[in-house]
Amino acid sequence: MTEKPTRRELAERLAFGSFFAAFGAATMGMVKLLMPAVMPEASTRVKLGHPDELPVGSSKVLSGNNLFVFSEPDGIYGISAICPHLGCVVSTLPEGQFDCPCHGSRFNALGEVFSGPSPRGLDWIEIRQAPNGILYADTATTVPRGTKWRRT
Amino acid sequence: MGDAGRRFLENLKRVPSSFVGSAHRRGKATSERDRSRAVFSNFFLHIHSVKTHIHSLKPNYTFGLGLLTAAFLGILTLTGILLMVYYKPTTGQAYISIKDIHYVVPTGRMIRNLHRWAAHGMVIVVFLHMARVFYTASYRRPREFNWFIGILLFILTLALSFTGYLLPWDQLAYWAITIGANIASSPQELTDALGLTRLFDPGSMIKRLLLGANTVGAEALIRFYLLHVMVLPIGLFLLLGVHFWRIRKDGGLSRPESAEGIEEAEVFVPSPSKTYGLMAVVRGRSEAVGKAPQNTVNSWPRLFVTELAVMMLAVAVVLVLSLAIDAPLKEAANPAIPENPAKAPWYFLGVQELVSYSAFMGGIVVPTIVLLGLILIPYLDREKQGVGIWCGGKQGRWVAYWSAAFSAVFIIGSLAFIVNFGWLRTWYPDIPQIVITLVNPGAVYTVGFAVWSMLVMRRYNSTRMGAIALFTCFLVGYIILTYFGTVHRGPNWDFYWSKADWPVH
Repeated sequence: MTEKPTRRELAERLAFGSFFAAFGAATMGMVKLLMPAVMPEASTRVKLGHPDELPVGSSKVLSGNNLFVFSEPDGIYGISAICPHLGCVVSTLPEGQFDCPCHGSRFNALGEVFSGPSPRGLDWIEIRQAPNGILYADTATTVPRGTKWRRT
Repeated sequence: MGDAGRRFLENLKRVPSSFVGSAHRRGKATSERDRSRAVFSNFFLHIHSVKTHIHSLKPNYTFGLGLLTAAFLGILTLTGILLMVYYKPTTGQAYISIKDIHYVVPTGRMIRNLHRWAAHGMVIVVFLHMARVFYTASYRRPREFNWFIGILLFILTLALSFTGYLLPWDQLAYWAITIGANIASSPQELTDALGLTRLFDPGSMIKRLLLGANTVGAEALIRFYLLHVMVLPIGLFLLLGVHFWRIRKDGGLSRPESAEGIEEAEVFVPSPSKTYGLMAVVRGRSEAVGKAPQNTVNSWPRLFVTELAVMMLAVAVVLVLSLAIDAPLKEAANPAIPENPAKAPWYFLGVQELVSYSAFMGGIVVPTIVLLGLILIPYLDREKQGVGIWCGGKQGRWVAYWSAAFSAVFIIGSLAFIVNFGWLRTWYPDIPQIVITLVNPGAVYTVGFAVWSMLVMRRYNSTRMGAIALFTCFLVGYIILTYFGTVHRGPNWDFYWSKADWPVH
């Protein structure tokens, strides 16, 4: 236990304390300006077209949206082209694998990482059908691996 | 015409000489006293003390590295302001304005080249300056705080260089910043592995603060521009002022004890109206009355003329480079297709090599440990002998050579191993990410170097020897990894002996 401060010392501490508190609060207020409240981004909703335009076995590359769309007998699914390691855009290899040009991460056809530094597999993207039958993908919404839009 | 009129005409005739005389109060310095006055009565020259120790003028002690850094900074500031005249920091205009500067603006290409090569030059000499200060043990008391300021300046230099990289908005810029921003958000690698990201996500907070968005775009460009031309330069110049001021206050440049020697000597007769403390400022010996530091010369003209020559050398080097080689500019940024390979600026390629094993360990943990280690050196090595002597003598030089050899063998061996056999995930594809994050080459090197320097420290019973071992290991490791990332990494970050072997596409 330190000695009890005198009245003068206490006043001094309070004075300096209030200065630093005010300074800290002002700084926090200014830092707040730097954190955007709304993310200035283009819409993440991508129109894929009617399911009939995606026949079974076909695939689509939406390079502007960094999205791969695959159509298989049991459904349609989207895989993000953005490497979870450091954000580069992966490309497809002939054998259905994905390959990141920046640091050599490799992913299998389901987007699971099998080599390289990526901390996880490629994200799967949600695909939904609008009431008018058109399919949309939302690149900001990820779904568990294996989630597909089922044909009915 | 009266008397006043005649005097007016006389004065008018004398304006040129009296104006010069009012600014430059004394003529040619012909005496010792004049040369002293030249320094302390001049705003610009009083950055140095009146007297300079002859040891500080030895070219093979400092190699003028700190001064070269300042010279490059001067070139960068001037050319940077000129570039700002035409550069437009918006995503639509940035690339075009750089093209304009390159092809249309009078002397624009030259100014941009100068800016680019001076930036590379500054990074190189900052590294060398730090190595010089380390190997001559110049970080010792009372200079330990200035070493800390120096590390901050080193970080600011790299930050300035990195923020400058984005501004041309070409492919290189775009993908280098994408990678850089994702390294900043890589603490997610750890929080994801621990399942904490939902609650606590420092990674994406830093990224958003830096980019003002989730992806590199218009907001990121304006933020990096602001950092590059305003925030970081202000910080750099402030700290540089402290750095220079501390050199004086800490007693000038470090020098070996053998070069010291202040003896009793009848130098000048003290007069009570003058403060001779201004002359020859040496810590703890401000009253040099009847005593004078030996082995000193007048800073004017010796030191200043030498400095001018070094600055001219810096200008000459970047001028020749700028005439010979144009600063590169790739295609305009394309967010859909990364460069292959997407390489950071050369001084970050060593880090990029480590990042290619784990973003968090290689990009955040190892650099943080290295910087903290650098800052702590003067506080952990508090031995006294050996200041101003390269590696503190023969023993230290041997430690440096052996550490360099150890580091080289260790790093080259492990790189050869990784290129041929891969790393954990190649053997166990299902290995949890936390293992990859914790056990990867970056971590192995750091632990290996720490163990080596501990052994050296115990063997010689000297913290200084341990410090030399550790610093040398990291320096050599950095150089080899940088070389490896620059030369031997090609498309998809695969190994190639040379660029000629890269696949054509």
